[in-house]
Formats: sequence, C-alpha cells, structure tokens
Amino acid sequence: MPHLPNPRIENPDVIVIGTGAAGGVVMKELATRGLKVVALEMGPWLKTRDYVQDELKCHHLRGLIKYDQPNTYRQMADEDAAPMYSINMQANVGGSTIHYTGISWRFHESDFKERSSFGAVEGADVRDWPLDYWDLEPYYEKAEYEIGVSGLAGANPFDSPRRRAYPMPPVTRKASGAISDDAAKKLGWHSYPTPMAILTENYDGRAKCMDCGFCEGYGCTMEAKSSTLVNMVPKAMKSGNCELRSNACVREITVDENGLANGVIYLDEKLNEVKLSSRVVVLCGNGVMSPRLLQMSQSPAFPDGLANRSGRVGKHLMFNYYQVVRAFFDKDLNEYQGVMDTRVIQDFYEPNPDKYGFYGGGVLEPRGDGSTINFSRMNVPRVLSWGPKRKKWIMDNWNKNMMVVTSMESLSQERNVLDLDPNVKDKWGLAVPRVTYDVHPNEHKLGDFFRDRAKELLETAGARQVLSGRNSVPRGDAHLMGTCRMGDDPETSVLNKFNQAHNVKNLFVVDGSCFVTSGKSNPTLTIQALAFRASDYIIEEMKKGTIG
Amino acid sequence: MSKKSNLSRRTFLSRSAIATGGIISLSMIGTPGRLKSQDTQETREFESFTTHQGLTVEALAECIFPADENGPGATDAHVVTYIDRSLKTHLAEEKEIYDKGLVWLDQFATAAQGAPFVELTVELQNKVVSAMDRRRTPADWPSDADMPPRTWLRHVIGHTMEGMFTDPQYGGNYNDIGWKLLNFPGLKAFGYDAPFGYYDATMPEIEYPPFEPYTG
Repeated sequence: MPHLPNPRIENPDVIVIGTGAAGGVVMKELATRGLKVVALEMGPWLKTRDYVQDELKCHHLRGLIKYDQPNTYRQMADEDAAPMYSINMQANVGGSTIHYTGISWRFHESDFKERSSFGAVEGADVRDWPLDYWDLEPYYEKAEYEIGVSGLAGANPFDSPRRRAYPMPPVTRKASGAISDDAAKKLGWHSYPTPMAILTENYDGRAKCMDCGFCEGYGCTMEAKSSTLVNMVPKAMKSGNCELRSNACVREITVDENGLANGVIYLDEKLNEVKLSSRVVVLCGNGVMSPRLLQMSQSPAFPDGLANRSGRVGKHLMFNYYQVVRAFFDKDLNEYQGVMDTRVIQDFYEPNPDKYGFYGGGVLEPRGDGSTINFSRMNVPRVLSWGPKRKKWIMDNWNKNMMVVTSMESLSQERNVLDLDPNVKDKWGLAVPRVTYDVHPNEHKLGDFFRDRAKELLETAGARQVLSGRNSVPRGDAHLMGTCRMGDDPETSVLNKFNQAHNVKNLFVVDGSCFVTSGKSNPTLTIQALAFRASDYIIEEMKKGTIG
Repeated sequence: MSKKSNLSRRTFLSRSAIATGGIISLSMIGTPGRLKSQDTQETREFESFTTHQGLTVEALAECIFPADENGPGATDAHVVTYIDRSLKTHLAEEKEIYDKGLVWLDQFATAAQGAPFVELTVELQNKVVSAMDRRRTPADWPSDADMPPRTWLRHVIGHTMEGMFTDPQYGGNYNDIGWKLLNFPGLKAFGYDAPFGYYDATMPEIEYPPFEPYTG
C-alpha cells in the first residue's frame, strides 16, 4: 500500500468511532464527499505487511489476531460473570474484516418482516425492522461493488430479487463445495456459490486471491480479502479530508447543555485523555463495543447512558446460533488451500413454524479445515488424545476432513444483555463488557434440525464418519447484534431507520447493534449496506442543516 | 534458570544419538525412555527448563507423539525446544504449571513405577501417561497437587501438538517434520489449479440458471 496522507484535523465535522466493517465505510463516504472526518480506532493501524500466514500466531496467541477485548460472561443475571475472551472481535484498523471469512450475502426480504410474516414467539421479542429489503437493495448493490464481493447472481433460488449481478465471478469450487453440490442434488436441495468479499479478479487496484489458504482468522497478505483496511480506509485517507488516529480508545461521548453530542474524550496510547469536538458523532464499535460506550457516557441528561431513554441500550443481544458437524472422507480433500467457503445451502432459510415446529431458519455452510494445530488437538470420541493411535488418526484424517457449519437465527430476548462489568477492568482502566446470554428454547430445536440436515448432507456425499456437535449455549460470538436496535418507536428502540439515535439527533450508531432480528448468518454485508445508507442520510441532513 | 544454550542442535542430536549407543538416525533419537537421564545430563541445556525438566518434557512429548513405523515424532520435531522457548514468550504464564507439574509427575512415576519419569522405559512411561489420562485421579497422584493429572497432561498435549505443527520459526516442527507427516506444504505452495482435491475433480459442476435482473 502506498503511503497515505494523514492530515491533522483539529475541528472535524464528524468523529467516526471505530474503523471496521461499518466505520471504514462511513469514514470513506463522508470524507470523499467533502466532510472533515476524524476516525478514532482503539487498536493499532497494522498494515498488510504486518499480517502473516502463521497458525500459531493468528489462532492461538493473543497478539496479532486474537480476541483482544476481554469480557465477562454469565448465563443468567443472578450468576457471577467470569472473565474470558468470548467476544470474537479484533481491535485494529479494519476491525474484524481483517480476519473474517468474508461471507457476504444479502438478507432476504423476509428477514426484515418476520413478525408480520410469521407472528410472535413466546419468550422472545420478534419485531419487524423499520425498513425493508427494498430500502436496502440499492445499498447492497453499492456495498458489493465498493467492497468487492464475488458471487453468482441467480444461482440461489431462495435469494430475494436483485437489480445487478455481482461485480466478479464466484470463488472456485473446492472439494467441500463439490461434496455439497453432489449431495444437495441427490437430496433435492440447492447448493450455490458462496458470495465472498474475496477478489476473484483484479479489482479496484487490488490483485485477485492466490488461494493461499491462510484466510479465515488471518489478515490477508495479498489484499485480496476485501477488508475495510484495504478498500475503504485508503480512499478516505486519499481524500485529504480524513485523519485516522489509532490507539485512541474512546471512553465517553460528551453532550452539550441541549443534550446533543458535541465530541468525545479518548485515551491515547499513553493513556492521556484527549478531548475532541465535532458537529456529528458516528459510533461504529460493533454490537458489543457501541452499547458499552453509550453506557459509559453518562451525564445528567442521560444518567442511564447516552441515547438510552428507552432503556434498550445493551438489551436484546443476539448472535447467530451455530453448530459444527465434521466429517471424514476416503480421499484427499486438499482443503488447506483456497477460501473457506465455496458453496452454501439455503433450502431451510425461511421460517415455517407450522411445518417444522420451530421458529426461524438457517443455512448450511460446507467448508474445509486446513488448520494443523487445531486439528491435532481436536476432541474425537474413542480416539485418545495422545500416543501412536492419535498420531495415526491425525495423519489419516487431516487431509480428508471437512465441516458443515450450520448458522441459524438467534431470537431477540430482553434478558440477553450487554452491560458494564462492575468488577473487571481492561488495560485502559475501563469496565469490560459483561455478556449475560442464554439461548431461547427455539434455538435448541433449530440446532437439532440443522445438525440432522448437515449429517444428512455429509452421509449422502459418502462420508466415512460424521462427528456431530451438540447443542450448547454460546458465551460470545463474532456476530454481535441487537443491542441498539432500530425502530419507529423511541420508547422501545434506540435508533431510527437511518441509524440515528432517537434521543440525540446528531449521534448515529452504525453497526450490528442496530439489528432488530439476527438474520440467519453472516451480518457483515447488511452492516455495510446500512453504513452506506446511513452515510447518505448524514450528508443530506448536514447539508439541510437539521443536524450538526 | 536462564541458561543460554551454547550447543548447536546438531551437537545435541549427535550426542543424544551416541548416548543411545545407536546409529545417528532421527527416529532412533525418539526413544529417550531407554536412557538413564544422567547419561545426558551434561549435554543438554535449556532456556527455561533445568536439564532434568527438559529431558522429562522431551520424554513425555515423545509418549504423546511418538516416532514409530509411521514416521518421526516429537523429539525429532524438537517439540521440547518449542515448549522451552515458548515458556519465555507466549507461554510464560504456563511456566509455573510446568514447574509444579513436573514435580508431581516424578513423584507419581516414582510411587507408581519406582523411578522418576525420564528414567523409566518407554513402556512404563506410557503406563504412567495412561494412568494420568484416566478420568479418576489415581491414588498415587501427589495429594498436594492442585491440578488433576488429566488436566495437567492436557496442557502438555496441547503444547506438544503446537510444537509438532507450528511454523518452524518457533523452534518446533523442525525441518517441517510435522507438516511432512500430513503432506502439508505450509507456505511453499501458493495457489493451485482447480480441481485440486479428489471430489472437485470427480463431481460435476452444477449448471445454474442465467441471472435475470429485477427491473421493477
């Protein structure tokens, strides 16, 4: 990457907090359209050359890429929360788009209208979004073209309609994809190429993927993975209108006497407090870090946290419930190279409570596993974890294994909460996020159903052995949603349909926290479409003078 | 504790091999249980471990991932070098667990089989590890140990696998020995021409309908 300008901007129009999936988009959109922006990133500004193809370093050491935000977790509100790293996020420029898998599909029309389409669910708070698929469709298209998403339009019969094909062809099918194709055909299901934020052609000044295989969980050394570090951030910086301050951890969004946001206080690398003022603040932390910062931003006008008159900030935390079913085949799969996912199955996406006896749906993602350390340490029934039999098992199975990840809907529940841990502090001296999370009984039914479908797929494909997972309660995830949900009613939601805080009109929260329902899987493209849309709105409203 | 090794790895290997009285071959070296530890006490120095600790970990790692008819094992892959170095860096928090656990291991081996772990034959070492791997803590496990043997063993198993399959820069997977067992090319292979695996080569591609853009 060529040297990028990073001008000093002392009086920005807009402060963008976070430079990940959404923050990268917002800083680029605003800066390239003439607004002065300061983007604040709590972590470092690592460059492509800093990323390495090293399983130990990237997957097992807390260093380059490893959950670097400590948190605590408890299942129920009356328990003590235990410290852990269960929030799968990366704090550095590009956020978690550095290490993500890159799966980039659109939500379906039904995802935005579940309550009106499928009814209420006992013990859950299922609602319609205040916008629909067609409000987002142009922004999905914009995201696919600006981010750089490969895929095959029309291949998935369950997709909602779209106006334009993907900007480049889909990723090359791997063995796991071929197995999916073959079994799905026999079962009457539909296996189609996974839309991925990975370049299959040279695009936008970046080179296409070399299939090195160090992909999910790694930072791309080729810039072929479309992280905001390599697509959005450079454009924002080249505009000359954006300053990026890394290692700047915001601890408070400040408000003026009218209850409007007027800037932030952040801690720099040496833990010095720095104050910065702006006309508009856009918070792009993620579904955990954004509600946490709002909760830390207490003032007389907002004693329960900024923009929290509804009491909903931090409530309704959602993940995507998922399971992993692993299988072993007779022949070599060579899954250690190429991207993670090349095929996906969405035959069981749409909720159909009457037919299935449960609410919601999900997807089947056949994928490889080229990890060597992870694989060798895996728990396997009836195989000792040490000794010559373990050694032989590793040698016989490593290149013949694949997984089907089933990713499903998590229901919005008021009791699933993200708040400030009263006991544990992080390296900045700030309260770590506390996760209180339990699954809804529906998720176990979903889990049973999808585990059976995954087994069915793998057995149909001729797997020699299938190891199925079991239902469990997630303590955290990479898909972090629901904690500042959008809605038309300020009494029951935090944001309006443009990601604008109901209570603070010059404050926007743009990330997964605005989600009303979890969708079935991989929220990133939807987050990015929402970010493009919110950016348009912010620019229009600032021009009109209604905000800032 | 901190002793900088002034012997090359080649010297280690040669001396170890000579100490076995055998021919210098990698797989032969993977049988330290047949040694008396005093035979090699002067020849081995470690960065984190004492000589005795290092030799014990090497023997334990060899039980976990042994050299056999299927190929080389933990000793050949320099797993102990990986663990020894890592206890100064990313595994620093585990140093105390090794210091304590290796004492428990020797106490247990002595009580159960009559000698410190490293002095036992491979057969007896495997018996010790089997006993440690049981769900129920054996009666001979030291009563003052604050970790069940199975839990402690899990630490060593995890680190042994890391040492077998890590990028070689961390001291383990010497000469790509671990990766070669899997036919994993590591970073040497960059890109491939599809089809690459058996199944994508033999299973036909699906034909998808042409895209019809929505024009509403």
